[in-house]
Amino acid sequence: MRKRISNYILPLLLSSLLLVPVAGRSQTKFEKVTIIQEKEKVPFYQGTAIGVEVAGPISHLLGSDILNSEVQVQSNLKNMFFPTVEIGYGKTDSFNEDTELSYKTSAPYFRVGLDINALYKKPHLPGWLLVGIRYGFTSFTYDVKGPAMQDPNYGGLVTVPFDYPGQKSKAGWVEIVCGMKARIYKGFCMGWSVRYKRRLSITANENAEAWYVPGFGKNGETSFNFTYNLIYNLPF
Amino acid sequence: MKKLPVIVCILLAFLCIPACEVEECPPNALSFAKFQLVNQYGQAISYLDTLSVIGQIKADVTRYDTLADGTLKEVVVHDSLISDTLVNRETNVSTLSIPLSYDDETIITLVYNNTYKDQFTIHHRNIPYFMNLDCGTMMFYEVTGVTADQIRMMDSIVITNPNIDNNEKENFKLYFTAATE
Repeated sequence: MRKRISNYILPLLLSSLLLVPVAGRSQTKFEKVTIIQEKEKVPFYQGTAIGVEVAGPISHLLGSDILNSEVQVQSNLKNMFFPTVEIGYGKTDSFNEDTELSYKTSAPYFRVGLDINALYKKPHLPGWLLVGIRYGFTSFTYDVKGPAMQDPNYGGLVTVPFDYPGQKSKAGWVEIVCGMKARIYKGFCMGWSVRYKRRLSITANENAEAWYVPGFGKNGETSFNFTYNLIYNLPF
Repeated sequence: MKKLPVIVCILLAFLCIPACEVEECPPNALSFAKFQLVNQYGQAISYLDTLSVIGQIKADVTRYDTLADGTLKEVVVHDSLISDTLVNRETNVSTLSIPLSYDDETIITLVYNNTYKDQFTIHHRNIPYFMNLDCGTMMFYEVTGVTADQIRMMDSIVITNPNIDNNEKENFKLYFTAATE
């Protein structure tokens, strides 16, 4: 009888020892399945937001010669990709008192691009950390006017008027965008971004270079600016 | 994929440095026609004696004559020749930088050793140019032709680059017959 009991106890102990890792393995498998199921739940389309840039108009109200105003439409795909379209209007009527030169232009500009949410794995957070790229382009005309040019040599007898209205130009540029967006109240968000811009092309004119390019800023190889958006998540 | 935002932010910070620089005006806002003196083989030479350059334009000049009763009478003299000494008795000259006039032609006279003269007229199209609101305006030129008026020392003149702007580059070659050693 003793032999029979020992015969039962030993296999029981062995089986219990074996069962511990077996049970552990089965639990791990269960967790993995759960994660996979959560990933599959992320919907592809998560809405569209419309934003209005306010830093440009505020800067103009505070005395800047340049007015930049733009609207941004951005869709949220899988909380990771944010295809973006920006349509704006740039305007300036500047006069330099030292050189007595004036420069005037006003034109719309367009940008298309994509942002990536660095916090896409944390959808519970009330904000997005976005990095992205844009391609911007504009077609515009500008007027340049200044005092008559007087010959510095030859007795200064010859003067040439300096007035070049309606100079046509086109410009294209690329932007690297880095910014944040945060929920404020219900469907309302606000966000800021800093943008490094590199000019790709610009149509030159014989008598006058463009000084300010709508959407790009002051004409040069590169430009840098800051935007601040008030955003509303559309209910569809 | 995880590192992409970090890389882009670093790239952005790195690329922002030149973007924040203030664009300065060009140091040379004046444009000069640049002449190179060469021998019959096209090799650069120097004129060792004194060389002066006089620029001239034709312009209408208003003259005020005092009449017997003491009043001033305004008289316009058409096509008056206005002279400006642009280079004064320089020695060992191999290149010349000459400002052109704002008229459509400029008469250039080279005076060698205060004795011999070469005179030619440069015909040009003037291009007033605006680069920047802060930097003022500049005058560029496109040379449309050269005519010889009175040539004594020089063999010929060749336009090597008709566009004259604030980038210092050769625009003319002045050919001379130079004795080889």
